Amino acid sequence: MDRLIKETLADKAGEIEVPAGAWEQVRRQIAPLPARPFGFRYRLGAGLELMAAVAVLLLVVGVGLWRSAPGAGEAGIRTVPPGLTVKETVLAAERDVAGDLVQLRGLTPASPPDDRTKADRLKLANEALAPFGYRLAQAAGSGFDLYRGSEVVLAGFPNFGPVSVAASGDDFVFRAFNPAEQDWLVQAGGVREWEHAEVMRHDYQPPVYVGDDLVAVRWEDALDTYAVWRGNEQVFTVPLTQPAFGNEVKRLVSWAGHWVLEVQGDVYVDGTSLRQQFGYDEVFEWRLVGGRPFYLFRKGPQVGVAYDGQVLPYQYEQVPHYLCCEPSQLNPIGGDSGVRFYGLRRGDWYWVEVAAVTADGPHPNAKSDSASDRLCVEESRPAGPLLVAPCQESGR
Amino acid sequence: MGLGEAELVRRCQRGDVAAFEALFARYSRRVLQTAYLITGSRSTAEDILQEAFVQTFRSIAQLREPQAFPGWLLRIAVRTARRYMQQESAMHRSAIKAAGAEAGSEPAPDNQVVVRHAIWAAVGRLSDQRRIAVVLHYFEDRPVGEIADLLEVPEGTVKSWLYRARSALAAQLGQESWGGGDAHG
Repeated sequence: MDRLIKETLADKAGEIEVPAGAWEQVRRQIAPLPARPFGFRYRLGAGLELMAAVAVLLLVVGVGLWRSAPGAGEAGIRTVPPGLTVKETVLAAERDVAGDLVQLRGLTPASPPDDRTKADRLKLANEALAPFGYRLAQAAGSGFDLYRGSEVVLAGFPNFGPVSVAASGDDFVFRAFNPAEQDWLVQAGGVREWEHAEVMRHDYQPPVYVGDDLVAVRWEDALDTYAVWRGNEQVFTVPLTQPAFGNEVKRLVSWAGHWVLEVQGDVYVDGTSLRQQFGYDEVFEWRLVGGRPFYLFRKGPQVGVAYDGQVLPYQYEQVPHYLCCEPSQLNPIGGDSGVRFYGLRRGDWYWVEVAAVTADGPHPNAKSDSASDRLCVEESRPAGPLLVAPCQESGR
Repeated sequence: MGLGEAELVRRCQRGDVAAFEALFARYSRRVLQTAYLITGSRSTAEDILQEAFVQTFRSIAQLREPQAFPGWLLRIAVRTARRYMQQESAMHRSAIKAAGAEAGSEPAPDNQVVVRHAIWAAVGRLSDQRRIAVVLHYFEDRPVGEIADLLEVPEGTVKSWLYRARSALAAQLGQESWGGGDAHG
């Protein structure tokens, strides 16, 4: 049967050929203006051309000096806000790996907090569900079971999203799912299947409660436009200008009475763009880490890290994101209690682990400084001694 | 993918349209055929071809691994096709079903052709996900793991889709169409 299906499809595929003029149609869209025939070079006289070359050289040298200036993204011990730990591990020099994340993955140390993250997630969800009489539990085989009282109302689903609760405490909503095979939306009133077409229309983002309103992001009829609906009212639209890998909508989160939407390199809080508000070139990986906002941003040549309203003393020239293909697609990765990513700084690739301090204590790699009640973090180098310094001497 | 193609990709990343034309020449037919098999519509397949390549050029700077270009392009094409199917689901569903029904009703000169027409008709009746999985597996020769990665679902899900698709094809065609062959492939 396999052979027959294969032959049939090959046979049908042979019925269609690329139409004449197809390339021209594509070319017109990707390069609407005629290519410039090196006008710069030909228009300048010999003297000006020399001056331009010198200017470019000076610019290159200047940028090189600036990039190597002490303190520009220097690694070492840093002070970070209470409630957060950051660990950087140098993995390899860029000249050795040329940005190959597959190689970097091979050098990446195992990350200890995984199990704790999973347990935390379950605990957080159950705290939210308890007033409604629901409870999530590890299933006997794998995945999870959802109980209402003592009755299992949904069994054996592999994953679930965060629980969003209405301000009045009257309802909640969360997504339980068997990835791309079956989805369910769970609310106080019960469990209903979330049809696949609807899941895709919402780009896999379930609605969240903001106050007592259900807020949802939905792909609208006009191609490449997402809209945010608050109850029955459309409150925001965002056109998509670039294709993405994975989902275009990265997340829809309810936070402190606001809705937060990350889509295509910008984050909108109640419709206000963080990119515009703070003059960033790009904002990505917005998450609540330990209940507080975390995000990465690019401003000019540097990628910075922000947490709980503060810009942290960490900068990178590159943090690959929104990329194809695996493992690039999986950078950064994170959850409710932390974010991890590869970052390039001054010729070295770092594995950066950002983690919230939970009830179970801080990140295993964090050093506590009881004098200041701040957490200091060590940078480790696999091939050399750990760099450890007292907290008082740290910070920039 | 040879080294020459990796170099073409790097040139595209620097905005070289001529290099992109070379990639278009190599891959456009395959993208078009895949889109056609998924949607069952010639005009939609042509639209997908165009949009997929425009998107590819605009975002090619995001591709860190030039050797991954073919898979990446296929990912964009499939994603574009899924988007078209979502947007105009009723239209495309009817398009491929109509194509399948038409194929199934044509007079057939021999038994093998009858079977192929019947298979195409049955493919048209598969759900979108299963049809995409079938096309990627049987036409694009993509292994299950790669399809899973491409569609962002677990391998078990793809295996399940393919199994169910084969079962559905067999059920819809009837065992006699296979001349006693293995209905589950």
